[in-house]
Amino acid sequence: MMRVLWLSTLRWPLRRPWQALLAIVGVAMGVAVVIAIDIANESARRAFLLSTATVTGRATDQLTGGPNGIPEDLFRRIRVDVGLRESAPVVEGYATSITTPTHTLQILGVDPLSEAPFRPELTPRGGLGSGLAQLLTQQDAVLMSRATATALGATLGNPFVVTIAGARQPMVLVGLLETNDIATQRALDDLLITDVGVAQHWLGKVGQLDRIDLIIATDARGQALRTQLSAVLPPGVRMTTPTQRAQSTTEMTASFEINLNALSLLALVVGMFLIYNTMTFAVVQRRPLIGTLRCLGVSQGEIARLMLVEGSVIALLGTGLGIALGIGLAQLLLGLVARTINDIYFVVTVNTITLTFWPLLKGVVLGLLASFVALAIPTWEAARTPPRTVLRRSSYEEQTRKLVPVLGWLGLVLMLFGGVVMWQIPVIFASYFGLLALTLGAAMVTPIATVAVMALIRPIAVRVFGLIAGMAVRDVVTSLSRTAVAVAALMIAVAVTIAVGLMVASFRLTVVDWLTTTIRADVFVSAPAITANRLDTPLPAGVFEKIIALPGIDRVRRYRSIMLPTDTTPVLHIALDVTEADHVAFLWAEGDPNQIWPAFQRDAIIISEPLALRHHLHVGDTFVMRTDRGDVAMPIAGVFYDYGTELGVIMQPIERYQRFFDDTHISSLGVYLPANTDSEAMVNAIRMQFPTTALLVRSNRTLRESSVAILDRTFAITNVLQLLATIVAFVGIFAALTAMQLERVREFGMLRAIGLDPRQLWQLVLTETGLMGLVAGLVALPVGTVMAWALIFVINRISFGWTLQFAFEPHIYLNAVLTAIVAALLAGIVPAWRIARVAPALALREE
Amino acid sequence: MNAKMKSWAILLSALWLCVACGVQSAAPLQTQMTLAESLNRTDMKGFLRADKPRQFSFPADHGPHEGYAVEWWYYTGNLIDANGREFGYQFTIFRSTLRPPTAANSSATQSAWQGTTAYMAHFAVTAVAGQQFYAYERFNRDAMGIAGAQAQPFKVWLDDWQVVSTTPDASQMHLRASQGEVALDLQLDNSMPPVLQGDAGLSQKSAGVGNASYYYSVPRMPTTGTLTIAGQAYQVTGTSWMDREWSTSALAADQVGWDWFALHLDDGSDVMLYHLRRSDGTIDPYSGGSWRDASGKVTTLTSADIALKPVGQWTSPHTGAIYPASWQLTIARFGLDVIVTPMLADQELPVTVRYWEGAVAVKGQRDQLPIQGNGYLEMTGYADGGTRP
Amino acid sequence: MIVELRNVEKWYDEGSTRRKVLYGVDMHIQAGERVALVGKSGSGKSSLLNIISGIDYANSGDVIIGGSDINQLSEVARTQFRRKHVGFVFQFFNLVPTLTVLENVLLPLELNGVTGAIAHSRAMQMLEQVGLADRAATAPDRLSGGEQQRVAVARALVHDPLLVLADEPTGNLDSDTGEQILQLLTHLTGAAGRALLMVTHSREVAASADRVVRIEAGHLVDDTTGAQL
Repeated sequence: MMRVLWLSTLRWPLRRPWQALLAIVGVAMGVAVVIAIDIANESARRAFLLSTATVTGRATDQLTGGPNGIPEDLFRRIRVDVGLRESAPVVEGYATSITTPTHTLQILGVDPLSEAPFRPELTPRGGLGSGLAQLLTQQDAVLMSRATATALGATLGNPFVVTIAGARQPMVLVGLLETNDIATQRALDDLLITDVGVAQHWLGKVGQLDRIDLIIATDARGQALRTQLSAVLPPGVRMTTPTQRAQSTTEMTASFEINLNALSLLALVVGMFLIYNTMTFAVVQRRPLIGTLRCLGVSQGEIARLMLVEGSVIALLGTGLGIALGIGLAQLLLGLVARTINDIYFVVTVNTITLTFWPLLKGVVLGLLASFVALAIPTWEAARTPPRTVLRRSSYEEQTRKLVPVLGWLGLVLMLFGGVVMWQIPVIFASYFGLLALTLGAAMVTPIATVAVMALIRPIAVRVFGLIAGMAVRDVVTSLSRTAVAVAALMIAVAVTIAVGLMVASFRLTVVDWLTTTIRADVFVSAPAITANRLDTPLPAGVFEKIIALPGIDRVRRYRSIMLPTDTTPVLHIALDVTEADHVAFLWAEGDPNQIWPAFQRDAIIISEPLALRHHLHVGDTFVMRTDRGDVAMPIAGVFYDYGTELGVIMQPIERYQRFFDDTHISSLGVYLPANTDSEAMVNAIRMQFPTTALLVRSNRTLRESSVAILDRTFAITNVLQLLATIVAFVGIFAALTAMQLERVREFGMLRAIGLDPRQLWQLVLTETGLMGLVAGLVALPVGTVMAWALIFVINRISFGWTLQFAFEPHIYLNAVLTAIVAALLAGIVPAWRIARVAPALALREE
Repeated sequence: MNAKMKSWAILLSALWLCVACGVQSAAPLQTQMTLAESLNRTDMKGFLRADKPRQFSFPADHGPHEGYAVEWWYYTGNLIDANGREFGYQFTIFRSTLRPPTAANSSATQSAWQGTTAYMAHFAVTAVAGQQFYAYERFNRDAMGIAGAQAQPFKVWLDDWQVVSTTPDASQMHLRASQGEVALDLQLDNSMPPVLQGDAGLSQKSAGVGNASYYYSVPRMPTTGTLTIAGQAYQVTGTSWMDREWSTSALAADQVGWDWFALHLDDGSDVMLYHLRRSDGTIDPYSGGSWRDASGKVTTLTSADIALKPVGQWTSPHTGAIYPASWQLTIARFGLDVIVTPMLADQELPVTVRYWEGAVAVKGQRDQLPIQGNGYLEMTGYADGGTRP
Repeated sequence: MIVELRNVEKWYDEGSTRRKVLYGVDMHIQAGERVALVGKSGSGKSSLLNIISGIDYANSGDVIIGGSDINQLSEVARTQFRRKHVGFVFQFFNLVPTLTVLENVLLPLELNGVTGAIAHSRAMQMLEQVGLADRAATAPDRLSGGEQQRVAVARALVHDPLLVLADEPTGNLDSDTGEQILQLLTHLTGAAGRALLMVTHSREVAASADRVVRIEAGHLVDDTTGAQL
């Protein structure tokens, strides 16, 4: 144990606590963002799986049907004819809290008398006691956990109200579900248990069941039972396993999750730069000390170990802090993640995070790994420090400057490599790997870009602002070993800002254009649903007939949207009325409209671009659709652009749909008015027709606006991540600049001694940091554009299958450069303030 | 009156308790008295009561009586195959209307699932030689044909457990039930006229008008069919006993359990008797029974006619409940003095409300001459509280 | 014989040209001898010092210190050799700022595996000898230049090296203080029977040595006793 030797190193951060602290914060933020995203995703997924597991119970198999579920009489046949006793009918749906509309509740309609083998935890404790009779006989009785009751303000025996499909639904709490098991407790949260008949009534599913859960043994008798069972199943009813079902649902969010994870890794990359920067700086600062130690006979290995230990302490503290921060952040992000999943994919009820081992382990491993990768070069450099006592920094800077062009070339090669990888390997992980290579390459090019920009600026700066400005410009170059990393980190953060900004703008532009093309009706009528951009809740009966009878209406188009199960993820199926006037609402990625429409009216379907890309489908191929009449192969007539869902959309005429599916429901209506009619007046007129029905009646404009609002909402989490990456970068540049400037106190003391006043020192420091910001901003422009290109045309297309237009938005660029400069200036303020306060003599005396 | 009633009443009481007070409770059944009380106290409004003798009519009365809260179809039987292997079976379907008909259905939903009637069924088989006892329980609701009862043609069923009449007058009944390792498929001959129990079918169970049930039995139904145990099919013949009872309230608060006997004697007599035990250990004076001799003559027995004495003890390995191991039965009026012994000691049903019900052998003397027979014995109220299986 | 240099040559290759800094240097230092090495800037003083200390290696010739040819040793072995047998005193003191006075003196002992009470008493004894025992717990930056250099002297001698190398030991001190340090240095090394090699510009320093060696343009041109100056 070399106690004294360790002390010599370990006391260093104590002498410069802020420097160590900033490094720790940098690592912490990187780690925090990564694990926060991971925990939020994981919590949402777990909440979904847990609630699926809870509502699935011990079922080994499930019978599921088409859009209208399965006819309830099938249950009788299973019980009485087949004699399969371990079978339970289920009707499911969602409600929201009346006080907190974002609080989603799952309604689980069950037959309490069939439940025991399936979901014992949902059967009230005390067996047939606790509310069971009311459940069977009352039309408003529910059971729920104590926590849910508290959240809803429901008390035993008393009525309370929730919202179902936009309408108020009174209920009575007749029993509490109690369990001592924490996991089960969590599973029961936000679950309203009611009788299957009540659920049918509330959810508009009278006569149908969403599924029948079964427990069938795997032995010979079970096999026989399966055979017997399949003989009585109507064509549209399928036997699946609960795992298959849950899996295909969670797979819907795969792309979404991957992209969030990738974005969060970006924050870690910026964090890596930070620790690299800090440690490099620590080495640079300590070169004289290391030189002395080497003279005294401390070996290279010992020096390396010293640096590694110091770096590890920072990494460990940073990672630890990062995990704590990440857990807190996860709670904040969870809402955004859940909302996006609810908006776009499926209903998930999750209000608290679930801490699991893996995201935390991943955070620790990534944090430490990133730290050690970042530590490698500074450690190596420290070990290489020759045993000299007087080291001229300029010689070190000279070395650095010699490296700059080499690094630049390497960076260029790396960028090219990244580009080729992205272009050639259409796999999402390869794309992100390519993007990472591109980013690192750009970082490596930054130093030479800095030298070039400074060379350009210097003559102008001297002429316009005088010698001090000239000095500042030169300083940026002469202290390149310290400035380069900070500039690169800031550059990456700014480039990411530009890239994400352009991507969001492109997305918005494309979608707004698309909405203008597709949304043509003057007034839209639909039923309220929890999943905001999916309209699969049926309209109450008679709405269509009543509206079409209204005066002043040109025509009404019917839409029926359902989630169609496939072998993989479900697909949105829209059955609709299409007349010739509606043809303009479609933009074709593939197919000739002159041939598409006749085929469509005859026997063909049209599909959206993401579906075509994901399943490699083209015009002329067939798509096998699961209908209530069994599997039907349908020819594909055309591929249209669609930005509504990456899951894919299938369309066919509503008349044909009704032949293949026992479903006469209508999900929404498009009402067309004669020219020059006030659509808002019609909106009101329609609302007046249905004073007591929960209907969403929206004009063309409101629908478009709300669609864009949902779109913007889904980007909220992207923006948060981008902001976090920028904050990490800011912390980085702040740390780097502060350290750098404070290290030059002696030099500044000299400048003060020869007559610079504090104001001029301020100028000097701020000009320097401002210039660094400028360089970062300037380099970020092309880099950000290339990254945006990669995001929009490569990653987006692979993940979601969308063709987007590139939106060139000058203000994004301008904002980025300004952000960079402002961040750099802000980072210069503390050192400038401290330096300007230093008395000349004091500054000179210090070491 | 029999223990079936008691057990079912306990079960119902649990339901009623919650309907009545709307309280969540971890164990609603603390004492049976409370339950009986709660059953009798509040919820009879809207139901018909068994408060006066009625005119029975068959086959209509084989069907359900939905104006009354509770009803059951109770089949027990002693069977034997060609090789002399003895078996016993019990098959019961209980009906319970959970909400008075007047209060119900005022704002009925459109859902076919919504109703007020629930069914419970117990199915047990005793293989005497194999020392095996099988028992199962099911619940379901009277909706969409999953469970129900009807008079014309006679049918009572729950899932695929059922008794169906194969003749319009219900003179033949076809009983089918299977679960796990056992399957039962029997033809029951119902051509003998029913015995109306109590006062021409009105069976008073405790003090107070209406605390009674309508109760008739078909004590001797020649039976043939197939009993399958673990894949082995036995062609069996024997005698079944059908009990039919419906009521709205019957029990007094202090009646804690009872012992019910349905015995076929080899001189052609059929004896039904029940023994209501009170919480203080005494026998309730409303206990009673009936004696039907070989000629078909029926004599009603009062508690004074019957002397029942438990002999020995059997401790259930499942519940720890202590049951009488056998009974000494004396009916002086008919010169009967016999020992009633279970064919298998452990015939305790592992169902929601625990009770003992099983095949018994009868051996002793009538008028100094040897007599023997078989039948079914039910003992309830021994397993303490015992709502949980 | 503690130091024995035989025909030591040192050159640097810079692109296609070779810059030679030491030409066939021969040099001997006996135990207890105190030698001053003088010469102008760029004459090869520092190169020679680096070679003797094992910081740098000679391109040819033998560098025998304490009987072993350190020029034949690996970088790691030379570091080990330096740790054991060489003590340094620098112009800018070069104390470790994060360690106290005592810890600075303990460091060479610790590097040589001497720890605990023995190390502590040895270091305190050394500080006693340089007159700073009462400042043991002080941070170096609280000391004056002279005091810092005295700590450096203590650090250079504490592990009992064969050879003490001093690079302008008084260069950063006023003349009185410099004189004190010089006395301390020569006295302590002499008393311990160690060799002392001082690189200096200063006449006073040179005068305090037993012998003065002059180097000019990479050649050892003179070898006189200090008294002869």
